[in-house]
Amino acid sequence: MPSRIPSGPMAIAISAHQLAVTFAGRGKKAAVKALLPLDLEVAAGAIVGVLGPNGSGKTTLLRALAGLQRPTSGTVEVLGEPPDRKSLVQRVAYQSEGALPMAVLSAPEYLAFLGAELGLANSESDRRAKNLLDRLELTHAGSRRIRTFSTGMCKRLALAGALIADPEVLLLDEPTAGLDPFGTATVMEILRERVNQGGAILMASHHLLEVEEICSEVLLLHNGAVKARGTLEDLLATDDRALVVRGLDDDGMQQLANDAKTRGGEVVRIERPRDHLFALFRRLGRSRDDTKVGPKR
Amino acid sequence: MSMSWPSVWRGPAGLTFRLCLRTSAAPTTIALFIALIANVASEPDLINGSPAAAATPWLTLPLLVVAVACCLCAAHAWPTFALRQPGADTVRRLERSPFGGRGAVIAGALLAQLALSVPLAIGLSAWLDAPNHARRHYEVVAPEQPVLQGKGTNVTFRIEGKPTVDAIWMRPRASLPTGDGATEVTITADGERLASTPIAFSESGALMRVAIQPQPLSQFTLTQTAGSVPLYFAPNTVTAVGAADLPTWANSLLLALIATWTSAITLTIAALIGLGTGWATLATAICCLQFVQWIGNTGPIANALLAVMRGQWLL
Repeated sequence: MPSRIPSGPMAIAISAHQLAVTFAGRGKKAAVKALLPLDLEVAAGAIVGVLGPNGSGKTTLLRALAGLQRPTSGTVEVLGEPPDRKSLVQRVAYQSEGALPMAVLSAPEYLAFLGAELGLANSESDRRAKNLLDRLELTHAGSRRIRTFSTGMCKRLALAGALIADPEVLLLDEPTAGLDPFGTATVMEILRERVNQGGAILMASHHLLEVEEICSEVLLLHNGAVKARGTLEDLLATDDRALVVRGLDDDGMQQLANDAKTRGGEVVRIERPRDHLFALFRRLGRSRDDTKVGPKR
Repeated sequence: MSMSWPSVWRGPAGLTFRLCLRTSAAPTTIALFIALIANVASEPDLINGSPAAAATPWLTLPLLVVAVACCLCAAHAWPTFALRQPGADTVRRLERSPFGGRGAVIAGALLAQLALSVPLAIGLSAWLDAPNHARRHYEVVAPEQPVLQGKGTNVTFRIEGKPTVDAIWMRPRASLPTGDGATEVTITADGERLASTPIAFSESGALMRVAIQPQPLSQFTLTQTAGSVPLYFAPNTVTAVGAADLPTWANSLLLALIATWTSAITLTIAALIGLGTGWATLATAICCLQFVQWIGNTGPIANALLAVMRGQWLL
């Protein structure tokens, strides 16, 4: 991805200043303040997770940044331009949470349509589509229509659609919802690659573990208001310190615990560290069919 | 895979065209079989021994199904045609034009309808043994009182443009006779008789086709020579038939083009309705609009189909 985001460690890909969205009421229905004024900056090379319960304003925020929702007040700039500029359609991708359009198409047809709409040359569009379908393990779907796809396949195709134009900014609304662990791992791997190449990603998600694993910063929304924001290190830091040791037997561990007590510390628990489930699934993906996957020794 | 599709197939118009063909082919085939069976089963009264000339309204069914299917397919496939359609945000971002790509989608749907309607129209006229050639029908201008009600009375009709004519068709309304015998009429132009024998009318609404020597004609006169049945030539009951043979396949092509007109109106109205309604309401509106134009006969298609079957040039 040849990044056109201005170079430099703090190049800003997305910025919003006092961005607010209110849905006007109709008849007896009162107006809904979907997003209270918020400031936001996402730097190139960052993945920012947007967290919050249902109805907290995550989708509204992403739609406003994608130029699909006109802000009631405030300003938004993506790659230095207002988000509804036609010139940004190729450079900024938005993956919505809902179903894919034109579900009567096959996956290659859908990507060819997106490529044409985004102004890609046919050969380039087809090359990228083939790569993305391979990478997201959708090649086997062949000419099957999208409406016969599973939820996970639809999600993967939606991400392929978002990536077809090789955008600099990705706005993703729950990109891993409904995906199996393999799919989730693939998606996260792709997202990591994008940011390593200088892309900027803003993703809304309910999957806290994934956000914790992949996002450099988080934005916590509740009822349209920002309740917390910052890097995970800042937000999740405690005064506790942990000591991780390797190679001691049980007696050695007990002596170490006693030593900690004599120095005024408190041993909270002694546990055997274990891998994350993601790691197990990664090993499963690499294993041969006839081998079992067990703990990593 | 998509690897060989040219650009024109990938955009909204090409995509809609392909989807409409794919979706409409099966229901159209079924409708065609139903129409043919129903047409035979309804035993239409043959006119001059021709089943095509006596075509029942059932024959409009496959053409109607093509029109409805293409409209529904286009409106359903394109997410911005109605509110709250899946994937509308994706398409809305790509299509920032005021019409959101609907114009191209309508064009694609109409092309698909045309592609399916042309073979249908040609096939129907061939299967039902419609005339091999179509003739142009010229409207004639009648005088204020186009009535024959006594021996020696006459009515003169004018034809605009002095075309070459080789037949005159008449279907006058007859009143109660005042005496015995059918009314006999001669046809003359510039004092010359166009038909060697008088034409006899005895019942109301009977169609008389009078063959004449092909000749350029700017007017002709009907003169009552005998009989006691008063005849009234209402508008559109007298037609001059052109001498030139025109190909039936071209006439069928015109029929298919006329058939797309109703869909163009339907989809244009649907695009406006869809700005404020969901898919279910929109689909109902599309079906109603097509139904009214075809079966309700507010559109031109039913008459056009019958005209093709009877060998009448549509232009």
